[in-house]
Amino acid sequence: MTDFFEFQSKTKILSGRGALLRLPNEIRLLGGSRILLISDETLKKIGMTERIRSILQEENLQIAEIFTDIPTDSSLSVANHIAEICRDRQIDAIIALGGGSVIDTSKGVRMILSQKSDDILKLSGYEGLPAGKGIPLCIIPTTSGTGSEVTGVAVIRDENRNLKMEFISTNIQPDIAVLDPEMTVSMPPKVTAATGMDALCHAVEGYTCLQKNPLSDAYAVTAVRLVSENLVRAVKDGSDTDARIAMANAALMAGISFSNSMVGIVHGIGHALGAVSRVPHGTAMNILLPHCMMYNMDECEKGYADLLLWLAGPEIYAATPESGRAHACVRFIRRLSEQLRAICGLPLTLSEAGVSKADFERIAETSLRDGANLVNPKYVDRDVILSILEKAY
Amino acid sequence: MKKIRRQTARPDRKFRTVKEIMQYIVCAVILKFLYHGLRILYRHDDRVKQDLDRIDRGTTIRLSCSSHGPELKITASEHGIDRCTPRRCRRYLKNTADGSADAKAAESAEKLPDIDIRFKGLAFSFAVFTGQIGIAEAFSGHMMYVNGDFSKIMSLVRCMEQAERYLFPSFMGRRILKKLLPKKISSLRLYASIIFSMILR
Repeated sequence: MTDFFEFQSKTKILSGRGALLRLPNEIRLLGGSRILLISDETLKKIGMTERIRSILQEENLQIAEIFTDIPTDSSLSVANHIAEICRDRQIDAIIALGGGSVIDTSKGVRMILSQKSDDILKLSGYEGLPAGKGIPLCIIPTTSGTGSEVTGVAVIRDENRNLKMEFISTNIQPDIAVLDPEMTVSMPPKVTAATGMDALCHAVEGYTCLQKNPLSDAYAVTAVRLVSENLVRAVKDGSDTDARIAMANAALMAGISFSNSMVGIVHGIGHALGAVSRVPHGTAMNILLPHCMMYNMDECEKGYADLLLWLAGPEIYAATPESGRAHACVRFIRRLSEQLRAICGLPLTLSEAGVSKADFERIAETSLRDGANLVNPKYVDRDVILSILEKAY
Repeated sequence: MKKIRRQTARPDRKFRTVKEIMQYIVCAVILKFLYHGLRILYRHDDRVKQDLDRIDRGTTIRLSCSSHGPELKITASEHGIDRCTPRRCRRYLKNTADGSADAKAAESAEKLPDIDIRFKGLAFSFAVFTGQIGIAEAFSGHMMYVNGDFSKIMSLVRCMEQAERYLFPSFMGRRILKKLLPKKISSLRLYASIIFSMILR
């Protein structure tokens, strides 16, 4: 690790009960008047898009267009299509209400509009995107896991090549993130569990990947502590707003951490599992995390040992011999996954998640194209990926 | 007055110090070595061959040492990679009249690359090309940026790491590479082949 690091988190965060009510003022301050609301059909059905509309209307702000036809795994063509609608309707601000797919799509749309492009594929890259025209982007996450509301990363599926493409630039970080427990209380237990494990995975990788730094570390360890204390509570009782807001904060902090320190092999394989076998991202993270930690053990032993303190608490940390702390950390995460399976049926293995062994070669091939493997602390090749998939099956 | 004139003139100069000139020359030479090395390894190391074959034929990639530094513009071809130069472009167009992938690749010498990899400064590329830091470390240390489909260059990056394994002695390789993979040909043979290939050109 070099002594140089870059750190950026420009998103303004509104977190806590009633945060939604502060949204109109923030939109006005950013100069938005013709607003596009991007969400999905489920959220529309349960009245969440209407709730946002009414909050904005109370402050005399109108939504010019609502787009809810976002698939579970959004694609490049969807982003291009929405951008075209935005140009026709002269949209000058975007609000995204939803989970990772909705948020990443909205980032893609904003990217196309601000760069005055016609195809998102032309904007692909790593840190090469100029600032472009300022289009305010406000994110209201309805899950607590991706952390995408604060990251400079968008992962969008390329339907033609069946792989997940990464767009990485500090210029795609959203302007506002609104974390209100009102938006997450209706999240089903299994989704709560999967997204919560995604947040944990971000924090663990954020704490151990190549560009870790003192600032990203601070966010990562707090995120780990919050997940450890609140995930099971939120899964058992979805109406526990304290646990909900703690998990939303955990996901956000893990997002800030990994956005600056990068993610590694868990995401490298996880993206491929999503693209090839359509395993939900959080489920893939839950299955892969302990296996990948074991693979990275010799490079990340100290990092994992440190995390035991935040995962298990000071008593267990102090009672565990120094040489056994890293392995105890992995065991703790395994136990947490088992507990979640017992409560809500979150898959523990690839076979439980419906992955076919016949797809392993394609998953490995797709994973080799993922940039996350490059910045994993330990060397990753096809054989390594196949061996992890076998162990996780 | 003289002082002011000297200060305003400086930013327009390509190089400001002897150190920068040396870095420019070293980077230019190593880019040539890297190019020829990858072409030779394509024939002798199946891992390099597999990785270069993963890049779609005709994809043009530009690797620049800085905004004003030396650069290498290549295209994925039947030889693994080929240089995108006007001369090579003409040769291709002469030999292939059916508009095949190679002809398209040659035509692309004239246009912007599909993927542009650029170091943020000559000092960073010099550090990577002289084995002071690894490519993964340069990526994670924000020393370079990429415009274009990021997924397509992963295999090229792996190839460059494998080439480093051959071009640098093991003690340097251990410092900059995450794993020292076994060599398929000796470094000495590779160096000799590179020099031979450069002379033949």
